[in-house]
Amino acid sequence: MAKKTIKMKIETQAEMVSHFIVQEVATGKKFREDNVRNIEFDVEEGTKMASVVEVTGANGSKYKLKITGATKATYPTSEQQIDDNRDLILARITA
Amino acid sequence: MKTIKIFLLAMLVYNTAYALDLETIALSQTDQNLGETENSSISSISGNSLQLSAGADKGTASLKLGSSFFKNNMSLLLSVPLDKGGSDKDFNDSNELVKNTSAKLNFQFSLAGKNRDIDPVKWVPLVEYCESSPSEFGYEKLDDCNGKRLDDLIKDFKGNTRALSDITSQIDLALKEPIHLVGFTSTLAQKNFEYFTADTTTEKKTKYTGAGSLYYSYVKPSQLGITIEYEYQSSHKAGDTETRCPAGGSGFVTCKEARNSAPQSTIKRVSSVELRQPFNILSYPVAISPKVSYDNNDSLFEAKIPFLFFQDTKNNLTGGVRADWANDDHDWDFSVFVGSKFDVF
Repeated sequence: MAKKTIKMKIETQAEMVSHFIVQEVATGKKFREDNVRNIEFDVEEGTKMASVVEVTGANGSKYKLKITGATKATYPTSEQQIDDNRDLILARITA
Repeated sequence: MKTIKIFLLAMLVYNTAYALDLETIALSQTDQNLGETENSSISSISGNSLQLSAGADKGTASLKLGSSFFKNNMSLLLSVPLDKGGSDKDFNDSNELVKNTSAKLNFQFSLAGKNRDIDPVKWVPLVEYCESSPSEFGYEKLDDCNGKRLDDLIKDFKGNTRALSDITSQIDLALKEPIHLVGFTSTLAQKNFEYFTADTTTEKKTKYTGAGSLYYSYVKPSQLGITIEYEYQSSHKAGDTETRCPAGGSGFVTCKEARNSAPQSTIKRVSSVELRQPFNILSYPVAISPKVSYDNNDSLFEAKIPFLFFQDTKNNLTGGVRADWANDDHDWDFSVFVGSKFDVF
């Protein structure tokens, strides 16, 4: 199986802290990266994953989540504004 | 500082070279940690690894490197003062850069709490349920579910499905989990001083100011914020301004204005605690954000107690009245203020 490189990124000009948690649907294996704006990982093509991105910051701070390199990724692609100092975004990814 | 100036100039050249590609972004959020407020318009260049901003705000023109440039939450702000009249800054005016240039580095990270245990896979059924029954969330079509954050989904969910109650309560807990924020800020700036050395003879000197602070913030989202900070400042205090005219002679004389003494070095070590707390009075939103600080060097104790009740057009609390007290004069001062929008973060 070929490997795919998935990139997840928070685009913003604001001061905010984000965490990424990625979990394989089939095995339940997960990893997380804290206090980063972007992550990059290699995974076998076709692997299904779920990811939660936690974003904390001042209310109204604007940001956008961008996922590239996946065969399919379903997540909110529009610009978001932090509400109640923390947002949680779920992304479903097929590598 | 020379390196900083060269770097800043390089950034400006880069900025000019790509001027046609500038995308103007209006940002309304407050950048509290960098001491900026309400950037009315910011131009930016976005690339895969570099993001530059240039904006004019509060008497300074600045360039900020953040987000894409650093992988973590670090930013570097380089700024130069604007002319007193507030005119546009010519970034290529190198003389102006020399007057008072500063670089500010800011870095913050949050400590992982209980949210470390989140299992994303367990929350997928909530979105899948939304896709199968969007009307139970008040949405018209399946695609509406995919464009929503989890916070929106649990707020909009009007159903009463037992299978989902575990998920919604887990998400609710994760959203309310306190945020532990740690950060540091450091600033390096240069300022030119001109002062009398004797009679009407003056001397010019460039002095550097450095400051560094460490802080810890405890934030209960939208409910409460407490920040403890320690700041070290090394700066230079200018003497009083004087105008001196040459003695003797006849007819017109040329007078000179400068400081009456060489700048004096000052050190401050300030510890502070600040509380930010919103609440309601008769359903009207208000907030307090008292801050007490103590300067070890001068044994100066200060208290600032802002009470916010003015709202802007977006219903953000932006002003109110403030009571200030310090142990140097033991007097209370009261003032009306309008500032950046209130937030517990």
